[in-house]
Parts: sequence; structure tokens; C-alpha cells
Amino acid sequence: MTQTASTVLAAPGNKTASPAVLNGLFTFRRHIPHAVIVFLMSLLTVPMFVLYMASHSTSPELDEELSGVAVLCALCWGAAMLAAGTVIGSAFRSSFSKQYLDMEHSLPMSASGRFFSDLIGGTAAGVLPVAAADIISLLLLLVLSGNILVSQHAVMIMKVIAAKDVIMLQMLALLLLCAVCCGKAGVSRFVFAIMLMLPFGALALFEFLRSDPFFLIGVDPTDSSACLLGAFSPLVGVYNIGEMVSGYMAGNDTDFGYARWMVYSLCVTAAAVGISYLLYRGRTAEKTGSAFAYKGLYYIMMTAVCFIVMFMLIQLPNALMIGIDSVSMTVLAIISTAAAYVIIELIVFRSFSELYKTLIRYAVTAAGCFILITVIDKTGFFGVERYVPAASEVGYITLENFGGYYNDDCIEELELHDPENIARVIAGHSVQVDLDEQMKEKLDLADIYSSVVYTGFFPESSEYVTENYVRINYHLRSGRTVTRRYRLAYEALTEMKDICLTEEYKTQLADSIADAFSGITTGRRSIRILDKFRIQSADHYGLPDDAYPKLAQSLRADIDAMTAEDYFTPSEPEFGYIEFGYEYRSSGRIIIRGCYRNTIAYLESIGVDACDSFDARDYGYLALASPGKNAYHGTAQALRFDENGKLIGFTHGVSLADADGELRAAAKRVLSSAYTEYEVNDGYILTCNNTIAYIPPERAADAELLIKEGEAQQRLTDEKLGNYKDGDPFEEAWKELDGQ
Amino acid sequence: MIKLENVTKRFGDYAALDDVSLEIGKGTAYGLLGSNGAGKSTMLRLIAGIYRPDKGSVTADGKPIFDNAAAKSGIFFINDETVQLSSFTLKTLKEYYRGFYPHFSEEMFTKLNESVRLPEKKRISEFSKGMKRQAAVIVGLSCCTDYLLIDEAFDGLDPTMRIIVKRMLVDAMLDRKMTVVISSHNLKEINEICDRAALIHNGKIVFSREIDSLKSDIRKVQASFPEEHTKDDFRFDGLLHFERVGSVYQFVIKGDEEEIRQKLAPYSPGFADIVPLTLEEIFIYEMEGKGYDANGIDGLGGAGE
Repeated sequence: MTQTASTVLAAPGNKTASPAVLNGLFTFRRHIPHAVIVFLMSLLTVPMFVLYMASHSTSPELDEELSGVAVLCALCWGAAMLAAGTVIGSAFRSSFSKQYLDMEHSLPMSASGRFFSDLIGGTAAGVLPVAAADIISLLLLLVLSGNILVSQHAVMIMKVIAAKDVIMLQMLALLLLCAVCCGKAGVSRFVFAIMLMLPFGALALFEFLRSDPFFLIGVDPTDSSACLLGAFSPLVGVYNIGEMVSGYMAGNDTDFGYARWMVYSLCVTAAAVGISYLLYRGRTAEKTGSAFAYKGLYYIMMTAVCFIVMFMLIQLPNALMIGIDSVSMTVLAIISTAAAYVIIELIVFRSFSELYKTLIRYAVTAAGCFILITVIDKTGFFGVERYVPAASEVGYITLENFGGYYNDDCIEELELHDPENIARVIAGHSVQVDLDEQMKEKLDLADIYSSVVYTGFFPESSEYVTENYVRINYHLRSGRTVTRRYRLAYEALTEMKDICLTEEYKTQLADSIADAFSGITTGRRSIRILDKFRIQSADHYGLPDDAYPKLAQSLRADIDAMTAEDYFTPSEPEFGYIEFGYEYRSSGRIIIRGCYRNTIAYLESIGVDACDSFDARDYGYLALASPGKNAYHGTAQALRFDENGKLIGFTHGVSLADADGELRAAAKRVLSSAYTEYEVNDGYILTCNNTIAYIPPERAADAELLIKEGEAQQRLTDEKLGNYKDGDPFEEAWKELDGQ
Repeated sequence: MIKLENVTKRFGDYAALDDVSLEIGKGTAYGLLGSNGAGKSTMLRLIAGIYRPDKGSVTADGKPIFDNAAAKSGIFFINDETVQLSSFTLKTLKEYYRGFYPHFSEEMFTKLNESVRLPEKKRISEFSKGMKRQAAVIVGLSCCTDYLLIDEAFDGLDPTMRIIVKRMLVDAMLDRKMTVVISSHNLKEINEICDRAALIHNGKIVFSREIDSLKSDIRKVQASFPEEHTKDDFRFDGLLHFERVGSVYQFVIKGDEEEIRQKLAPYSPGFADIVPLTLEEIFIYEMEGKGYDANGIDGLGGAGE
């Protein structure tokens, strides 16, 4: 009796195996029926997926018919996952059943030996059949239809196969963690389901916090959420892969950060196994049969549940278009999350007897969350919010959507290596950080809530801006990437605008336009010309074969020749936009500035004229405001703030649907004179169809007429609807406006 | 030798075992007696290395048992349930345990199964409760461990099978000096198999002694006296039970026959018939002494004055 578990035991029957190996083999053997299901389902999954991909590219018209194959493929994979998933609960059955606990824990094996042998035996029953099925499927496909696997889809097929296998490993690891932390199979499954939703809970939290635009300004956790959250939840992973595949099939190279996600997922999987092992070692046998062996997991779960409920609640007033004040919202949030908390506790513990303890736990959880969020908020996430990398640290910068500020939508990502451009970005970023901090100090919570709830919009800085978000990615010399996301303030943009005039920008802009054109290789080439508000349009088909290369060439020449005046204070309004593509599909949109003489000449030579009739009725709804420190622009409304930054009202839009002749004429003059890009020091700001435009001061009379009419219309609407029965909260603001 | 030293095992606020010390010598047949929830199964699970003691130590031959594969390889635990065996056949059950226990004896397995004739290839889930129990005992004995722990040993066995299983246990004890620790409510069987017993109540050991000495140390007395007496009149040590039916007095008194006669002598009994107790009676009267009596259950005492 001196042998240990690691000692190789000589068992009768000429078999030699250590108890751990033997246990692993028995665990595997016990799950052979599961393994057979996993194998068969996996064997069907891969060929069906390949068939779907291949058929899509060769016969896109059969997409609808093939959707059945896609569904079947998903079902087979789901069945394989389910069968594999049940193995873990079964392999660790002693976590849930006292009978199995007695049998297995009394065996001469150490806890480590038992854990790893159960894990390896169980996982093998789930993973080996998948690996075998993958290999067999690919070999069969290679033999029977080799061209599929060496086709253009080969990389995507391999990526999806690898992803599905990683998702399975992730799922098994999380199931293991649940099995180790719970003492009842049902509770373990329930926790796993919640765990799948945890990343959504985290997203809910981010969304909730982001509804406060001053919470961690610029630091957007959802930037890396796709791959990071996917790494924590197989469900998010499945969603990401689904998006990747559908994006690929739609012709977009949708990469949610696949490689990073794979690495993160494998790290999370390894961490889950490691944590499970440590918890397993510390777990006491008597926890079998009780709901939770470790309460920590439970409280994390409950916190997530609270946030999910809170998130749903916050969406509700917006969804139902109900205005609700911050106090009522807070009370509602507390009541509903407390109710959710109590209900789950009752489900899990099946007892009312300790309700007061549940409520105390809820209070502690809620208070803990509140304190954590407050600390993060007040410290700017311990300095992260204010962090701007030094120029010496930066290798290069990629700016996403920066072109959008200047209607250069084609250039989605700008890569900046020029030290001057890097310095411009850093300067702009620093200004933005300072402005945001000043604004944060000015406004109180009530303003934030009221503006968010009433308008769904909140200004982020001290000058009017577009709704465009720019994402700054600093690729540091250390290899780290720092990402920030802002709706840039005018002052910040001023620091960065000269980037547009540099060789680096112009080359990339012209290249991106040329790339977009060259990407269209099939179908009937077409151009749709749009007015500057993208409301009126005219289609032009049957363009000459060389239309795109010539357009690209003339655009490159025009872009090269652009001056600062052309960009920021143009003397001629825009010609409009062109959307190009084939058949009925649009592949991109390019602004045609007034200064693009070569391009305009070429377009006119092929019969493409500007859309500039501006029938005011087509434009439906306009919102106008005087620019200045206190004007901000959202969708169709402009918020008005007093000098201290306090919300005092809205500048309401004017509906032109039933406008009389005078108003229509005024609107037409305003629209005709609008510049969609301009630096503004005076004049008016017009919002139309989500496009913000500058109206020069010469049109002041027309602009004022439209503003007054907008206010009159709004008052009429309020009276009809019975809004503000208890008094208009913005009465003072109206009076002030009337007096102006 | 299995040794429990100052062992405490709590489940939340409830102490299943409270500062218990016990020694079970090699080659002993040890019976664990006690009321439901007294802590017998907890003690077996501590000895089997399933539970970790909150306080104190549990060792087998000087080695701590919990999470110690070497110590556990000398112990086989048969719990009071057989559900966990359902997915096995007797053959696969044998294969399963054979790998874990280095001294598993195929020969013994065959020999034992010959006496009960359990089908080897039938799934155990299809066995009756008694057959499942037999399967567990056969495999447990075939593992040839130094210590065999059986919780509710004879549960579900018919009288014939009880005899067969008892014989198997006794043979193993005699052949291999195996130590058997049995927890059972069937005191008759404990009485027949075990040479030592411990009574556990509310997580404490009430006694732990050789059964023979236990039986010789406690007696039932039927007596009559010339004068009428109440219980309060009999003020001597060791009186566990008093009952009067008409003119006949019944006592359960600790001590040997001579001591008891001396204790009763002052009351001048007309006659005093002194007989030894069965283990079951000892259990009942000891437990009664601890306030765990069978009041309200017909025929089990509580009728005394």
C-alpha cells in the first residue's frame, strides 16, 4: 500500500496504467455515445458550410434556396456543440451528485489526477471527434472537389473551421468553470447560460455608461469589444463569425479582429481551465448538492444580471418615446434590478426565509457597482481618459473616419507616418481632452440625463461638430496600440485640419478612390449623382468602359491641386456627390467639390449633370441655428445652452411639407447657398437629412424666417399634443429667444 | 490502524462530528452505531478521504488520508447508495476498480460471484437493489484493501444474502486480517459481525468498546420487592431505565451481575432475574439516557413511572 497515484500500477490482465490514466480512459469510454453524435454532426457541418460558400460564389441567385443548407449546417454544428457540452457536466458529475462523489472521491487518486483525467477524458470525447470530422471532411472535399479548397474561399473556410473549434474549446472551458463552481447540475447550466450573456451584460454596462457622454470620454470599450467580448462568450464568438462570414459573402472584408480574437479566446480558455483547477483543488466535497460551491461566481453573475435588466430598462423610454426624468429613472432602475435580483435568488436558493439577506446582498452589489463606476469616472479610469501619447512614443497613427469630416468618405483609414501629421493629431487630441474636461466640469448630471433622454443626443464639446466619430489609433513603438474615439470639437479639428493638405493625405485619398473604382470589375457600370444633401438623385447607366479610370485620373489631378481655401473656405458650393457601382449596387460615394474642375468637366462630357433644382418640399424638414459658442447640432434639432453650458432649450426644425410660397422660396435660397463644408465664424448652421451645412450671413433674413416658423410649428404641436401641461420647462428660454 | 484525532466536521452551523477521537485497530470489525444524522456516514466519508476534516486529523497507518492516493489505495468505501453503479455492468465495474486498486484479486472476484451468481454482462441498472448491493460488496472485497468501509451494509439484502455477505466479510477478515468498518441500523448484524462498536450521538462518541465487554457491562433486571417503590427510590449510579408493570420492576443497569445485586440488595428484592442485553437494547437504552428515546412508538419503553 505504498504506491501513489502517480505510481504506475500493475493491474492484473497484463494492463499497466496509472489510476489517473485509467480514470481518463473510463471517462472517455463513458462518453463514446456523445462522441459519436459529435463526430456525425461535425462531419455534416463542414461540407455543408463549404457547399454553401462555394455555391454562393458560383450561383449567387440561389442564395435563398441555399439558406436551407446554411440553417442545416448551423443546426448540425449546434447539435455537435450540445453533445460536446453535455460531456463536461457528465465528466464532472461528482460536482453535482453525492453518490458519484462518494464513488470517485474515495478512489486512490489525488484531486489533481482526478481533475485532469476527468477533464482530458471528457474533453477528448468532445474534441477528438470534431478534429477527426474536420480532417475527414477536408480530405473528402479535397479528393472529391479539390478546387473548392484551393479556391479564393480556402482562407475563409479554414478560418471558420478553426474558429468553430476554438469556440467549442471555449464553451467546454466555461462549462468546466461552471461545473466546478456549482453544486447542482441545473444551477450550473443556468450559470452557464448567464455566462454566455455576461458579455452582453458588459455591453449593456458600456452602453449605459456611454449614455453619459462624459464618462470616460474617448475611451470606448466597444472598440475592442468584438474580439475581447467574443473571447469571453462563445455566443459572441458565434455572432462575430456569423458577421464575418456574411460580410465576406456580401463582398466586404469584415474583420472583427479575428486573429486577436483567436488569441484572446485561447487565453481565456486556458485561464478558465487554470482557474477551474485551482477552484477544484480548493472545493470541499460537502458543496456537492448545494447551489454554489463558490459564491464569487454567483455575485458576478448577479451583477451582470442587474446591468442587463438596467440596460433593458434604459432602452425602454427611448423605445416607447417616453420622457422620464433622472430621479424616476433611478428609482425604476433600483426597483427593477432589485426585483430581478430577488427572483433569481429565489430560483437558485428556493427559499423566502432569508429574503432580508438577499436584499442586503443586492444593496451591497448595487453600492459596489456604483462606487466602482464613480471611482472610474472621477479618476478618468485612473488617468486613461486624459492620456495622450508623446510624439516620441508613436511609431505611426491610423485615423479612422477622419476623411468624413471633410466628406472624403472614401478614405476610411488614414495612415500617418509624417512626423508633422503625427504632431497635428497629438495636438488635436490634447485640445479635445482639455475641452472635454472643461465641459465635464460645467454640466451637472441632470443636464446629461435630460438631454440624453429627451433628445438621444448630447454635445461633447464647446463648438458645433458633425456627428462623425473619428477613431485615433496610436501604434506605439513599444508595439502597443492606444485607441481613442471622439466626436471632434472644432478647436481640435482646427489643430488637425492641415493634414488634409499634406501629400500623405492627398495620395491616400486619391489611392482609395482609385481602389474603389478598380474594385468594380463586373456588371453594368453606373453613376448616381446626388445633391449636396443627398436627397435628389439621377442615375446614369451605360457609362463608357474607361469612365472609372478617367474619373479616378481627373479626381487625382483635382485633389493634388486642392488648396487650403478649396478645402476650408470654398468659393463655390459643391457640385454634389457621385455614387458609383454596378447594376443597382452602390460601391462608394465621392464628393465632387466646386473646385474639382477636371472631374466636373469630365462628368459633364459623359452627360452627368448636377442635381440642383432644390424643390423645398423634397427637403421636408430643416433645422437652423445661429452658430456660436452655445449652439450644438444633433439630428434635426439644435440644443441651446446658456453661457454656463446649461441646457435651456432646442431650436426646433421647420417642416416644409405644407409650407407656403414665401417659406418655400426662403428654404430654396437657403439650400442653394449652403456649403456642406466650411469653417464658420458667422452665418447659420443648417441641418438637413443629417447633413450639417453652412449658410452664409447674406441669407440671414431667410434663415431667421425659417427659425421663427420652426418655433411656431413646435408650439402648435405642443398645444395639440398637450405637452408641457404643467408648464413649459423651457419657457424662459423661449422668452429669451422671442426677445432676441 | 485508522485514527481520528480531535476531528471536527461542520456543515455550515451544524457540527456533524464535534471533536471526535477514535482508533480502529487492524483486523477489527468495527460497528458504527447511532441515530439518524448522528454523524456515522460523515465519519466514514472522513475515513474514506472524501471529506477534509475542519479540525483534527484522520490517518490510516499514520498517513493522512485526504487527497492522499497512497493512503486511499488501502481503503475501499461502499456507500449507502448504488445509483452510481448503474451505468456499469459487473464486468466493467470490475475493470474499473481493478485499475485503481493494486491488489485487486480476479480469483476472489470469481469466487465471490460464484456464491451469489450475479450476471456479469447485464447492466447494473437492471439489477435489484439487493443485487446492486452484492455487486458493490463483491467488488469491494476483491479490491483486497486493508480497510473496507460499508455504509448501511445490509440494506436491501434478503436474509439468505445477508448470511452470504456476512460470511464473505468474515472470511476476508479471517483470511487477510482486513479491517471492516460498518455503519448500520441493523444492530443484530453488527452484533454478529463486529467485535467492537462505537455509538455516536449528536456528533460525539458516546462509547467505543468491545461488544462483548459492552454486553457484559450492562444488564436488564426483572425484580419484585416487598414494598412499593418509585423510580426516585432507586438512587444508584448506572440506572439507565426503570419501568414498573404491576408488581414487577424492570431495570437496565450498568455493571456486572454481582455489582447489580449489591446495588439492589438494600431494597430486599423477592427475586431478581439478571440477564444480558442485546446490542439493540443497549443502543436503545443508551440513547434513551441521552434523551433520544422512542416515546410514542409502541412497545419501545417510555411507559415507566
